[in-house]
Amino acid sequence: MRVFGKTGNEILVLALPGEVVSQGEYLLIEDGSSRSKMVVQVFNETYLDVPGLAEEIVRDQVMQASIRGAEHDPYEIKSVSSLIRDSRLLHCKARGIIKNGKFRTSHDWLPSRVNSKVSKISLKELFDTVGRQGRRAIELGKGKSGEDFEILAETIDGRLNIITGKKESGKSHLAKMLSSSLVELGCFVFVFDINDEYASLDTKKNGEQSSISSRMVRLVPGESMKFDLEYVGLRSMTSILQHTLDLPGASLREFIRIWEHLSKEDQLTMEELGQAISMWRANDFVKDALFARYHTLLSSKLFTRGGERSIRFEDVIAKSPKGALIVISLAHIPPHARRIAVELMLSKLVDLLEHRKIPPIFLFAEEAHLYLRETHWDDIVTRMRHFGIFTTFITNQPDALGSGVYRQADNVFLFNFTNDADLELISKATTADAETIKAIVRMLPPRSCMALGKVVSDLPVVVEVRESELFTKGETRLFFAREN
Amino acid sequence: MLLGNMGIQLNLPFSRINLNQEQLFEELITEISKFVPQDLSNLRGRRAVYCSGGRSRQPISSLSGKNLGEPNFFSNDVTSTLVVGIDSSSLPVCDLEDGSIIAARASAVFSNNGEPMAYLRLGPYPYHVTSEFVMSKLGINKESLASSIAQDKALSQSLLRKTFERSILATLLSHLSKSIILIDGTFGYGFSSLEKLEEKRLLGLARQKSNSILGFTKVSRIRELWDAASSLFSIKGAPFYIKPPKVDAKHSSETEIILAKFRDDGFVFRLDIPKETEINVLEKLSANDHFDRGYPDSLRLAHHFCVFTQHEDTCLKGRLGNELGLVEVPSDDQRQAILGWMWSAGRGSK
Ligand SMILES: Nc1ncnc2c1ncn2[C@@H]1O[C@H](COP(=O)(O)OP(=O)(O)O)[C@@H](O)[C@H]1O
Ligand SMILES: [Mg+2]
Repeated sequence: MRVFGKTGNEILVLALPGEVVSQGEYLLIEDGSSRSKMVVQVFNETYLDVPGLAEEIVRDQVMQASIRGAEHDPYEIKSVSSLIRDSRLLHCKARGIIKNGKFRTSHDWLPSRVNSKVSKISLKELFDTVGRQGRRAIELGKGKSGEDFEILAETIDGRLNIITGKKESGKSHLAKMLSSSLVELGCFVFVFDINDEYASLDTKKNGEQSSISSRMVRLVPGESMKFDLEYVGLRSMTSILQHTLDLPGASLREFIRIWEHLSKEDQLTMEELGQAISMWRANDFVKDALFARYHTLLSSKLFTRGGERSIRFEDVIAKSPKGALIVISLAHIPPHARRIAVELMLSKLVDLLEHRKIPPIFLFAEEAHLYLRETHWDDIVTRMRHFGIFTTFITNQPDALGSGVYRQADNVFLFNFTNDADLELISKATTADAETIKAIVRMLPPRSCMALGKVVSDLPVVVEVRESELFTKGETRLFFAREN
Repeated sequence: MLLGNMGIQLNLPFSRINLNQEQLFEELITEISKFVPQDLSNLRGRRAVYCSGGRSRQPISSLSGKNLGEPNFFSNDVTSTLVVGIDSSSLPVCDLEDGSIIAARASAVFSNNGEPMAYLRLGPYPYHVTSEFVMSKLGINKESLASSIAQDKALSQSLLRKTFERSILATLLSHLSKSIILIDGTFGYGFSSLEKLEEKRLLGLARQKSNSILGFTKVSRIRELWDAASSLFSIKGAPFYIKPPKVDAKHSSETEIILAKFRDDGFVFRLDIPKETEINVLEKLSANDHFDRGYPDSLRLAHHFCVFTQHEDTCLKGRLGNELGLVEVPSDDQRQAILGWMWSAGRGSK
C-alpha cells in the first residue's frame, strides 16, 4: 500500500489486489524521514480511475463474450492491466498522529508520498497506544481483521448510550450482552423489556442455567410489580396525575388535600382513596375529574389492594448484593399502564438514589418512545443521570429519540441503516464525521456495528458482535414456527 | 485582388534597422501572388464536401456525377470458407539516444458461415529499433537508407508494424488453404523495391495453397475513387462491385483495384485484389463473414483487438520501465508547450 494523495481531509491510499483492507480498518502511515506516524481509518474504497480503462474493459468483454481465442503476451501486459484494474483506492480519514509513542488527535502533519510505508494497525496496538481508562473488560466481538475486541465497563459507567440500527440488525442482542456482562461485573441493571425477550437470559443455549440466572428478577407491572401508595409518595403521584393523566390544576389541588388527609389518618390505601374522593366536598366537576383518574389508576392494577405486597426496589437490590438484572416486562401491559408504571418506577428510583438507599443503576430502555413521555427525555439525560441512572436507549427509529439525547450521548453503537433519512439524521447527531458514518453504516452486515464515543476513545471501530452463550432469542414470532 | 485590397499600413518601427519596408512588402506580395489564386469567385455555386476536424468525409452522392458503368451484382456463395482478418498496430514506448523502443501487436480473427469464431492475439512485443535493427531485421540493405529510417520515428514505426504483420501473414498463408485473408490497407506499400518483392512473395505463397488475399481500404485518398465510391453509394441492392479506371500511381502490377459494396446499408470500399482473383472469392466472403455497414467483421474485430488503449500504453511503460530499470529523463510535450492554448483551440492535422 502506498499513499496516493490527499483531497480535503481525506487521505487516499493505493492498495493492490492482494492487499485486503476493509472499511473501518485502521492504517498506520510511517514516514521514514519523520518520527511521526499517522493513524488513518478506511471509510470507503473505490476503483482506480485510470484513463482508457473503460475502453479496455469493454473490449475484454467483447473478446470474452463473443469468441474464443489464444494470446501470446510475453510481457504480461494483460496481468499488469488487471492488477491496475483491480487496485483500489482506500479513502481514509486521518484520526490522529503518534509521536514518541503518544497518540494525539491532530492532523497538522502530512506524510511523504514517496517515503511513506502504509501498513495495517491492529485494534490492540492502536488502543494500547491511545490508552483507555479502566480494567473491567467486556468482550464485544471481533474487529474487521478478525481480532478480538473488548470494551471497558468503565467507559459505559455513568454514561448515556444509544444502540440504534434497523430491525433485526442485532441491537437487542448487543443490549443483552452488555447488560448481562454488567450484571456479571456486579452492577444493577434495569431493563424496560418491550418484547419480553430478556427473561430468557437466565438460560444458556444448551439449556443449562446461566451464570446470572440467580441474579435475575422479572417484574410484570400489575402482577409482580405493584406499589402501595405510601411507597409511591405524593410527589410521584401528583406527577403522574399531572403529566400522564392530564389532571387540571384545580382538581390536582383537591387531590393533594385528600392525600394529605388520608396520610394523616394513616389510611393511605386505594380503597380509602376511592372512598375519600366520593365523600369529599368539592364541586361535581372536580369530583368527576378525580374519579375518572382514580379509575384509570385502579384499572392499571399497579396499586396494591387488600393486603397485596408492594414492590420495594431497595429490597430487590439488597437481596442480590452481587448485582442484579431486573427485567420490567412491558410486553403485555396496556399503553397507559405502561406509562404509569415507567413513570412511577423512574421517580421512585430517583428518590431512592437521592437518599442513597441504592447504588447507581444502569437502565436499558428498548423503544423508549413507546412509554416515555416527551418531558422525560431531558430528565433522563440530565437530572436522572446526575443521581445515578445510566441509560442505554435501544431503538430502530432514530428520529424517535430527542435530538438532545444524541447531543448528550457518550457512546453510540450504530448498526446498519440503509434508509437515507435515518443515515442523514444519525450522521448529523453523532460526533464522528458524516462521511465515515454514511459510507460505513450503509455497508454494515447484520450483527456488526460501529462503536463511537468514549468506549473507543473517539476512534470509531467496526465490530462484529460476538455470539452469546446465553439465550438471546429475538423478538420475532413467526406463524409457521409454531409447527416445530 | 485579394492581397492588393488589404490596405497594408506600413508604419512599423523598422527605421532603426535601416530596412526599406515598402519595397520589402511589395516584393513579398508579388511573390505570393504567383500561386495564390487571385480570385476565388469562380467557385461560386460549386458543390463541396466540408472537411470535419481536419478530415475528409465521404459524400453520399457523387460530386462529379460521372458514371462508372453498370455495377456487377454477385450472389452469396454459402460454401463454408474460412475468412481471416489480420491487423497490427504499433506503439512508441520511449526514445533512446540510438533509436526508439516500439511495441507491436497483431491479431487475427477467424470467421466462418457469417460469424466470427476465434481470434489470435500476439504481443505486445517491444523492439529496440536502431539502424542496425532496420538493416538486420527489417530487411533494408542500404546503410544510408536504414539510418535515415531509424532517424525518422514515424517511418521506423510503420516499417516495423508492416514487417511484423507480413511475417504473421506469411505464416498463416503457409498453414491455411482455400481461405480468404483480409488485410487492412492497400498492397502498394512502396517505399522500397524490397516491399514490392515482399508483396510478390506473399502473393506467391497465397497462390500455392489457393488462398486469396484481399486488402480493404476504408477511405480512399484518391480523389477519383473517393468520388466514385459516392456515386455507388446510392445504388440500390448489394453485393456488387465495379472496376474503376486505373488511378493509383503507386499501385502494383500484381493487383488490381475494385470498388465493392457488400451490404445494402453499407459503405463502398476499395479492395486491392490479386489480378487472378475470381469473383467467387467475393461471393464466398460475402456469405462467410459478418458485415457491419458493409465492412467485414473479422477485420473490424482484428483492429479493435490489436490497437493499444491508453491504459495499455501506461501498463507497458510501467512494465518495461520496471523490468529494464529505465531512467526516465524529464520531458516536455514540445508541441503542447510551445503552441499551448492556441494549438488546442485549433484543429489542424496532427
Ligand atoms: N452477534 C450475534 N450473534 C448471534 N446471533 C445474533 C447476533 N446478533 C443478533 N443475533 C440474532 O439475530 C436475531 C435478531 O437480533 P436482534 O438483536 O433481536 O435484532 P434487533 O433488536 O436489532 O431487531 C436474534 O435472533 C438474535 O439472537
Ligand atoms: Mg430488538
